[in-house]
Amino acid sequence: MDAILQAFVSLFQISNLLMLLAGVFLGMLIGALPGLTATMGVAIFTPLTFFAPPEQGLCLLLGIYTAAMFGGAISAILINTPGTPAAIATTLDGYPMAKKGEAGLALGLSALGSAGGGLFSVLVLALIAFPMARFALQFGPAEFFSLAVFGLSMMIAVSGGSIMKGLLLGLLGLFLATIGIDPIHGFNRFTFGIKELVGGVSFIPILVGLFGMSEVLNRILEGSLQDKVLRSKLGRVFPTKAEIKRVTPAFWLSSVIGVIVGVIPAAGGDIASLISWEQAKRFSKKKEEFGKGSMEGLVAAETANNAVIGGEMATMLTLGIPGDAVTAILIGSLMMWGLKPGPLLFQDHIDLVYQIIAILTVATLFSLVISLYRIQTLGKWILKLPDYILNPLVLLLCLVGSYAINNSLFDVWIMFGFGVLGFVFRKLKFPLGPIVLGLILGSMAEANLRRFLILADGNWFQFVFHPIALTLFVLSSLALLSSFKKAPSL
Amino acid sequence: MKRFFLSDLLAGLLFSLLGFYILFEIAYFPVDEGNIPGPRYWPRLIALGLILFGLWLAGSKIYSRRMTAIKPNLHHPHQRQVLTILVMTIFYILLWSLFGFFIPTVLFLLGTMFVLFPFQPKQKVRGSIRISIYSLLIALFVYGSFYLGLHVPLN
Amino acid sequence: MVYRVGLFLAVGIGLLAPVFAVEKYPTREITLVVQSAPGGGSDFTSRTIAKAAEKYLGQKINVINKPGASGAIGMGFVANAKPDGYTIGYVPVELSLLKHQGYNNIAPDKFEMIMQAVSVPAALSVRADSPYQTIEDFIADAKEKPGKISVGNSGVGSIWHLGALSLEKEAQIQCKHIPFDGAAPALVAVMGGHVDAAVTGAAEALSHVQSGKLRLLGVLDKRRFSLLKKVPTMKERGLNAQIVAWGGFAAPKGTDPEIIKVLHSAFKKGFEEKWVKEAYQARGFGHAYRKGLDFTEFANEQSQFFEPLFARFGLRRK
Repeated sequence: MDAILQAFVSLFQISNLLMLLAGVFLGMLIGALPGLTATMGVAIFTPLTFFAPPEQGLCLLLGIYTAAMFGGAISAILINTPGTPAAIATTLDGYPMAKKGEAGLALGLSALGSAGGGLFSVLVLALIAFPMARFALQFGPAEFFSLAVFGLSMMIAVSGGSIMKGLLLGLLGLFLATIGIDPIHGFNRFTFGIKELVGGVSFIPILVGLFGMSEVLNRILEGSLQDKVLRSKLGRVFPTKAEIKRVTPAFWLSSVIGVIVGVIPAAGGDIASLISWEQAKRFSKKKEEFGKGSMEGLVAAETANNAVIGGEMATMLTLGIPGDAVTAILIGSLMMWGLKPGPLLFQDHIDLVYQIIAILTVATLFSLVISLYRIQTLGKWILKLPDYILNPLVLLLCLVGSYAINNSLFDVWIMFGFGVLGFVFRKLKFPLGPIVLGLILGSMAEANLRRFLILADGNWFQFVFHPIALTLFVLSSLALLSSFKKAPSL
Repeated sequence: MKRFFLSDLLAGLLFSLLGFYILFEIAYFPVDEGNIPGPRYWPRLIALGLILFGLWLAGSKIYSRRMTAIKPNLHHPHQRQVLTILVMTIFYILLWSLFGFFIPTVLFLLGTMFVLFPFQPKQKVRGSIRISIYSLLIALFVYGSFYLGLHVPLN
Repeated sequence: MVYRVGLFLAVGIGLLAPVFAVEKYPTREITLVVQSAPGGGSDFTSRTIAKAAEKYLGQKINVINKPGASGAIGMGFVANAKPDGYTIGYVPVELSLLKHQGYNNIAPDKFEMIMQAVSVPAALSVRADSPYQTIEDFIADAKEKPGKISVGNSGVGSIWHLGALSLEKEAQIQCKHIPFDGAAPALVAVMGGHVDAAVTGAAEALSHVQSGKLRLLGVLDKRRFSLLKKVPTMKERGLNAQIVAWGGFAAPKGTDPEIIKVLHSAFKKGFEEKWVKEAYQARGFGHAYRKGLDFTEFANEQSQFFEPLFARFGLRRK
């Protein structure tokens, strides 16, 4: 205990705090701008930390990582554009809340949820990192396939009104995920001879187009006075006691789901928040509100994407395995400082582990304070922007963000195409959530199914020997059955 | 014919068409080796799903009165705005690829704001000045925050 | 209105137009294009050395990533850039592979090589508690159960996949090859017991070997791996399988030799900095250097070396 306190105390030096603050600010900016991701931010700033002492470097990088998850919510709620992929589920309820005139409350809840989820996951990291991380190694091709199936079984739940339309767009997402070199045989599929497509279509420009640009077009088209009045209202920021009580079950559920998904390698905030949103819906007393501005849905999504961080760090620190792209870069930085992630780190450099825990805690708190302050200023300011500025600005950010992710104008065209497509789909009342699910999970499902079948010599029966996979299959069928039962119409 | 344009019916048919296209394309892919699925296995599942649900959607809407459809009407001011802005965006991306980021961006912002600005009859000049300043400021801000703040050069 | 636009044009040009004055190269910042996403090995090498070389070049080096198509997008961009020394790129071993995959014509002859900066040999790793203590155990078991032992690699047609295939061919065994999405997931699958072994870079396996989770049975190189001297080479065990990944810096074909000289000198000095060496050491990257012309020759040799492998292993696609 003393050692942990020591870590907190040593963190409170001017140089460390300044780095942390810089990291948090950068992270917020990166998170809020559509197209830029935490991965990119951490990678770009890594070389700058080479010359700093480890704790200062970690302050900057972990600050970016933590705050980016907070920042993603602001654009998701105010302009229906997920700032990072992990904020997709936030748009489902956050934007409807803002449309109802509860933008302030949505931002407040998301900041509180993010902070709570983040702190919970740090606690898990501090207490049970090892048992959690052993779970990570259980995931092989069979388990990853079943996890993807479990995720895909939510397709109907995120379809809203029409199951048929949801499934069609889900299949479109799955198809888009097959474009490019196939993961097992290396065969070139559906690339039409375009070299940019050989590596697959980039996910983020599609996301930005479908949600961000199509929303701008939609807003121009609707341009109604009523929307403007509601939009310019921030409303109160802090939830009431009753509201907190209402979202508490969703909060705990998502915290746990977030940490577990975080521990699993190659599954990150986007998957965690979508799964949490769906599970929160299943256990909620007010299922019908989900997707129409439910506080529970918003909290579920935002809590999960921050709870992921502790899980990712647990896998990284105990096993030296990257839980996601960001931790992959962090491993490199730690090694650079002569610290090798893995079981030995806990024997030889336990002080560093405590330091990381302290940094994550303080970064979360900083992010919370800045978020709450930012809602009052930036939030109000964005809401006050007249449409003739806001719409061009958001459109420009969509275009620039899609370019910046790969420095590619081709991606800008992709974004544009999917912006128009998303606009048409909106007008035809097609739900957009399923495309994203298909895109995120498509290649995970296909590649792991094929890996599994090669290992099993083509024998599907071999799934019997994978209890985690079987459990997930059962859960998926239950999810499917229950969502069919409750579906209003095909 | 009006019902057909950009409607559920057409969307359903297009999705099933995409399904047929995938089936056609995967005919040239390497075949599965025994029980082990090859490159065509997964796309085939997707294609069958697209055909089934696409036709189902189209079929269920043929006689239905509750069909969602878009009726374009270019006399509608907002629809015209959307169309103009789409065309501007296309030109913007083209100009960007030719002349770099900054100048096309200022022009793009100027153009889109010009389309969306609620001009008052007697204050055209004032409005123009205002949007010009905003365009320049936003372009500078975006360029600056990407290049200086995030080390992402935009060219 | 026209006046205003004109004003903006003027301001814009004033702000952004590069200085065209002909002075001693470099007169403005240069751009280094990395062919992979932020965070990988190529990105690390590029950003580290760029950071170190800036001081000697006297100009800022902007590192940008243009990932996609196994690096063909980024390398193609550099190959087609204006050969003025202000756009250069990182070229990994894929430079000598891509053409043989049959997708594009990226090859060493599209570039003026500046220098080689890194090398990493392939290695065969198994779980620490695996029954295979030596490469001989592994081969003996594989001969007993042909087609049953599973070997992970970092992606179909990748350099480590070639490593696995060369080893298989040389040892006259048959394995199940399981491509993963990169080296890290392949090693995780070995650690979790989902596959029996994996061929990846020795650098990627290094930290897991040091933490006692993995064991290396051998490296596919002439020399032993500097950070794990105990691990034998395949050659010592009578297997002539050699697969070593490398990377370096290159400029578009036709760049002035004087400019290449300036770049080479700055990058070489950065490369020799003590902290760069330490960064390499921490990652397990080989601090390998070849100067421009030698690097070109080497890349061409490698290209010739890999070509028959692609044909032999049926990796050539349409």
